[in-house]
Amino acid sequence: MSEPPATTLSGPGTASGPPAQLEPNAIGVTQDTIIGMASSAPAAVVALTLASLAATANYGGGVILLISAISC
Amino acid sequence: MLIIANAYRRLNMWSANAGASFEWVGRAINPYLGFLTGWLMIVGFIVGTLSGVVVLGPSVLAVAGSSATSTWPNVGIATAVGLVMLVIAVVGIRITARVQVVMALVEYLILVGMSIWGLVYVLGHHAGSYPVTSGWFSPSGIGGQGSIVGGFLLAVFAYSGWDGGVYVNEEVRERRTNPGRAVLIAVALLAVIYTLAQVGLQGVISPKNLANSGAPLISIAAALGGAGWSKVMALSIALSVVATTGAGIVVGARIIFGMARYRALPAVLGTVNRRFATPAAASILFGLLVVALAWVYLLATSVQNTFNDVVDITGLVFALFYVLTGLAAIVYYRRRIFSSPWDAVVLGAAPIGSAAFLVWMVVKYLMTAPASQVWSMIGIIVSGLVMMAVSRFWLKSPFFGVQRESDPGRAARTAENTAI
Repeated sequence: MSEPPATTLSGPGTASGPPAQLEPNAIGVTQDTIIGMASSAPAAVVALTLASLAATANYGGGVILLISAISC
Repeated sequence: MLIIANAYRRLNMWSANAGASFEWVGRAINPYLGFLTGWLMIVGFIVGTLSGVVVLGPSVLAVAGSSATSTWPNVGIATAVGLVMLVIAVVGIRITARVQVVMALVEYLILVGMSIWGLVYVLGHHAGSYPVTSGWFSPSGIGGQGSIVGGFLLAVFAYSGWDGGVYVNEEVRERRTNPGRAVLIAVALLAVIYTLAQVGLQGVISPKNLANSGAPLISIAAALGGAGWSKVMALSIALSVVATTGAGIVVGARIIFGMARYRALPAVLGTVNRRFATPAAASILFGLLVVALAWVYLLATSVQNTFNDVVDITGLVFALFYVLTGLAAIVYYRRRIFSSPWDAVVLGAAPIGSAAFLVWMVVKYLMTAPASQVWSMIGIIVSGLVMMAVSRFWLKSPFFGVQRESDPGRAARTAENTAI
């Protein structure tokens, strides 16, 4: 199903003929999810925060991570 | 994060643009605040990407069995990874996505596998491990002696970046709905991975060894399976950083592109390469900036403390633009808030509560943060104000003249449909 173009404001691209566009419909929801997760860098973040979270939360870090995921 | 992620989902249904929060805040609340939001996003993703690139070298060198402290090998690795991921980002979103999926599969397989292994190891009461107690399932920790505020701050830092999937919205199939789903799924999966890793790995070695280890994950992997598995874990960390470098360039470039399209940044950055259909100019700027800053960081040790101060407050920068996005969702959908109890919770109470919670954490952190970090935060905001003045008065961006918009609400939509 084709979609209407995203809302745009007049800018430099629209002033001088049709501008080149980003490739529409190039990736699916799974790939998009992976890009989002990659931005958070799971393994690197665990490497950085594991010890400090264990020390700061006195081993209650697992619950804090779950609450943060839901409550923010 | 799920509540703020839902705000992203709702706003993306209204307007699926690469600028995302920059536009949403600008068009729902105020364009000047929108610009500042965009600036915080750019800074957050540049610093977040940079912080990964500069720690990549030691992980790669550990896998190769070389000295992790050699300067030039670290510079070479940071440069090579930055440039390779830049080329991939320029060549196309499809190849970027394929590379990301392959790296993610290997990274998550190792991390999740080791976490389950660690949990079994701890539950088996192996020598040297730290036993699971009821305190592990309390936010205040064992004996109620943990810092809940400190823990939440670290958790917010850990989740930062989940929103990356929304900035490629113009390239996603069903772009008004799928990016919103993607951020919700990303937060949920990250919650599972982070919780499993924390619970599964924190007890593998003693608290003393955990606190004293320079590379805790490597030490834990070595305790579980010896030197070979520590290299496997180092590979997972390296892949994670390479992936976040690539994602950072892709995402950061689209934020810049989304802003430059309205001349809020130089117009050349708002162009799309006709051959590759990617924002090549914005990608090159972002990628080269990350590589150049990595060189400065690794070679000029005198500036490392300043960099570290900025890196330490990256989570706060993300928290601030999450707050602004949550507020944009409330303001844009304000006419719906009182239309049903469900909307009152999802579009009103929950985002307000989340935004208030994040603001409280930012304030709480800054009240006890070193002066250098507070000044770094002030510096980021002041530089944003300077860029805003340049955009408004020099680039004469039309973005600052946009009219405020809001959802007409269910009643208005129903009346409109009835009239038709």
